[in-house]
Amino acid sequence: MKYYTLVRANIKSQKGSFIGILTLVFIITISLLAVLSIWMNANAYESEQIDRAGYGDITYWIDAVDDRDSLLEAVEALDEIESVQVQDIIIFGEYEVYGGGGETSSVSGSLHMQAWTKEESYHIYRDNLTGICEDPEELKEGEVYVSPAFSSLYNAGIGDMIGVSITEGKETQRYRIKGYFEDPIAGSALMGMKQALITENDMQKLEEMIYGAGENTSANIASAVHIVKNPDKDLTLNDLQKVLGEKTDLLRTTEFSYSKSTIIGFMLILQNIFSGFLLVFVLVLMVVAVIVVGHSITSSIEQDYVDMGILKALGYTGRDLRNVQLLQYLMAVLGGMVPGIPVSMLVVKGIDRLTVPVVGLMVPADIPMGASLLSLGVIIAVIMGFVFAKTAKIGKITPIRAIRGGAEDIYFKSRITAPVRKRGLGFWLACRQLVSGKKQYLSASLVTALLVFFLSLTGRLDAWLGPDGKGLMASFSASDHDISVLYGDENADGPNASDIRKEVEEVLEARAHIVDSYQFKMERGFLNQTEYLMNVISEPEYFNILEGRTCLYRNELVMTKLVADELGVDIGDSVTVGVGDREQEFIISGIYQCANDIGANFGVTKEGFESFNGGDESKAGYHILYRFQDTSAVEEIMEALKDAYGEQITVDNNSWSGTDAIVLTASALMAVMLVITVVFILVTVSMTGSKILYKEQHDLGIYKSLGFLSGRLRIAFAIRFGIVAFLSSAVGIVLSMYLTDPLANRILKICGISHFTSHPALLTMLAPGIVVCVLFFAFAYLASGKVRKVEPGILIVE
Amino acid sequence: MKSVIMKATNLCKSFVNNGGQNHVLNMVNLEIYERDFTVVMGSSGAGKSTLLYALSGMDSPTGGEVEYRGKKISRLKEKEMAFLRSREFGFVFQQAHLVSNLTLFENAAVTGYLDKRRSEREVRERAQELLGRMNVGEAAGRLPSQVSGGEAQRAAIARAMMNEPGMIFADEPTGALNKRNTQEILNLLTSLNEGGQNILMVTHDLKAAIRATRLLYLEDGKVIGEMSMPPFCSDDAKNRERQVDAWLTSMEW
Repeated sequence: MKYYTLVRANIKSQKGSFIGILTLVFIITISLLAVLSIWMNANAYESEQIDRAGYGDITYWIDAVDDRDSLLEAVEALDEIESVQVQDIIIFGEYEVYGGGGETSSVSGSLHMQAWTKEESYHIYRDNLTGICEDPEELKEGEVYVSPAFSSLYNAGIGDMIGVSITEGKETQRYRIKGYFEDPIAGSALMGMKQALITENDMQKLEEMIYGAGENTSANIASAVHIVKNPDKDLTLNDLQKVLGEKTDLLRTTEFSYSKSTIIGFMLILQNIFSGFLLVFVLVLMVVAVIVVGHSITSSIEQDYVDMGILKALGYTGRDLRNVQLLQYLMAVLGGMVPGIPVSMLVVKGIDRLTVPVVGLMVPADIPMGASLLSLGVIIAVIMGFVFAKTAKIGKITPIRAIRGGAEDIYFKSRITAPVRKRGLGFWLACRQLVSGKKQYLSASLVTALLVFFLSLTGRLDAWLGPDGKGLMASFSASDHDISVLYGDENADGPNASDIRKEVEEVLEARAHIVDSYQFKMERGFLNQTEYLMNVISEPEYFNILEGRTCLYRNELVMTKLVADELGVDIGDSVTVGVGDREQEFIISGIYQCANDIGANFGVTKEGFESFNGGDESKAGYHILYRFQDTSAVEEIMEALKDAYGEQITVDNNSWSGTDAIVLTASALMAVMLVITVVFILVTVSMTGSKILYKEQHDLGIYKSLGFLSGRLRIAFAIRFGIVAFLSSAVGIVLSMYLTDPLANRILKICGISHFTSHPALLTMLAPGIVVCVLFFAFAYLASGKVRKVEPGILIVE
Repeated sequence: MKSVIMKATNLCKSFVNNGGQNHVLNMVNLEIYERDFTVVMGSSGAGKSTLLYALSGMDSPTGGEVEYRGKKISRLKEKEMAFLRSREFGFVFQQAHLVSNLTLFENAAVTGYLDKRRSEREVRERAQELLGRMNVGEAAGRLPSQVSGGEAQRAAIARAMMNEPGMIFADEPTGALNKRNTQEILNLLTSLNEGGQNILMVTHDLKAAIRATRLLYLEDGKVIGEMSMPPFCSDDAKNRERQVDAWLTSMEW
């Protein structure tokens, strides 16, 4: 009760500050809990769903082999293995999607079909993607469940069709999309591989057709072998792979493999990138909130100096008054946090619904209690610790000093001074007020610099991504190119591949001017008996080298930083490269960037790869990558080539199924961050502005008594904030120039992008500063509305 | 016959206090004449300052009219009122009320900058000249916090004089000053009036009141007495003091 009246009175008299801090904490709570929920729940949920789907620590996709059962028995018999599960699948290298509005998409990417029954472990979504179906319908023959990514990638809704070819170039089967399933393995729109669920009967029919087609089939009957390592054995996945390689033939029959962590990395790449940026954003907001609280405390103590002196004269101790302040701010913080918790759940739910078609998962919207409470506790501790430190000066207030004059500002002549001139009087007065009261604007300037820095960071990320996601593509591509063409096998029946290539290159030269062309393909290879993606290139100078140099000789290779760290090797070290049955020693000549397989890859020269097997097989399958002088018509050229040559060639540009989704999500994220930034600027300007106006009302009364108009005084006030914002924006922009790339690098490294360099246009660099300056000026002008209420009568002493 | 510069008709100012109305000014009718040094006296709470600020447009009256040079000022818009304050009225308050982050010179000049009739150079010259006349020329470059109360008040008078106002309103201008500074300020105001400056001053100080050429006595929100006197002469100060004292006694001061 001792404090109740005072706390209530303080909140009433400083309701602006109270609401401001409450709003800041409310936004921080929502943002933080949303990030934590998405990040932690997504990881936990994805891991859980992979387990539910029966996947193990590592999955090997193997071709149909006669002695499959004995091979798997040998694997299961190993001490290092806990369990082995097998799933029959049919893999198609390409397929057609007949989306809404008659749109047909020819997809070059693997489609894994498998049988599904109600008892199977995959979740089926409700038709409107608002949740999981409790009692999903059984599939009928000719029906298929696909991931929601089909809707975002190909505009394919329920009732639309997908078509697959048993024989190359000849579509044989079509399936009607019955609904969507939650695919934790390849459900993300950002992944090229896709899974589809069909009935057992359809599966059998497909198998029969494939066997019937014999050599002409383009489909592949395969098995997914899910291996769980023995938890009692202290093995890394690399160790496990080595054991499997040494003791079984599994790796020799493997087409490709993914570990559980790789799948999680692929599936959650979007969440990880944006959670990282949001987390940095929340930290920036937190610092901003602390700065604003600091300013609020200082101003409040100055404002209530006399009252505090009187209360001390009445018997209140410094500690009592400090407790009142602590309680007051604690109430504001809790007032923001408590409603922020349920609202964050709604926000997460909303994000979930919006992102299901892109990420493919419906992550639970539950708040991770432990981490959330810990984080909120840290926020309370930081803010309250800051309040405690800042209120220390209350102890120095003596009743007599307070009553004699309070804590009025005494201006000393500053070395830095601004003239006051007739022309542009408002501006000069603003400069003078700014120079003489610079301490008051410190919080606003720090907030500006931080917000501009963060907006610059996101702006640079946006510039790096580009409207077509080129920056991201550059990170994922081993080498830079505009179009890649896979020509048919030279020795196969049909039109001569060399002739087609000649014709295509004539078209490309005429329409885009070929700058260069080279050969490239992706294979699987082993480094020190650990399997990785292997990029094979004829012109290794096109690799994006970060350290050292590219691989120039047959026995040299480059690898990503991730692989080097995983294997504990560096430039100059030797590693054993395995391709098929053969192994050779290679020297690491450099570290390069390629985010394929989340960075789990290495690169060799064409000669290096072919040295393992000089046969025709190893020489085939190269894509010819072209670099153009004029890249404006790449899409048109691709369409023209597809129309002209159909199945005879495979044309791709340097794009990726997930690019649009990432660019879209980045834009949405930036819009959200901009809105939050605007709210923060509004709150900061309102709080600091109202405190400054309160302090200056005496001077404002004088100015009005001299004949100054409210409008002129308001503009002078807004100019002050404009100047503060301008100067601090410059600091923010300079900071972003030096800190953006290292910071973005740290965040993107999680996703296998180990090198981020932004080269934004001048306007992109300056835009955040300009936006923040304009907002500061506009909000300061609005906040200065109180100037109208200040009357010269304030100077009257009755 | 003196011409009227300011006129109040049925001027009222009431405050609501604990549910009841407190009539501080109660149907005041008065005229202020050109070239007069008018002093308003009255007991504490009589409504002296309220009258001054109602007349000067600093505070809006609850009822009645105020005319300045034939123009009704009680209901002027903000822009018109601001123009009047910058060009026609000068204020000297009990506290100097200088803008704390402007030097004495800038405090004076900033008023001049609002007046379009003078160039910046002319404003600066006049500010320097006025500060010199008020004996604060040497302190012109100092901030209010760096000068004495008397110096600040002299700078405030210089500021009030900046745009050659039609009327200077002074509210207890010596109320916060010591004896020596009080005399200096009163001498300044007297000399300004001798030069033709109209002054309306509120005071409860007898020594200030004797500077008046016309005295008004306010009681319970009404002007209940007035007395005219010849211009002040320092040799006659004692006699004027006795005269005013007697008059105030008759007013039951």
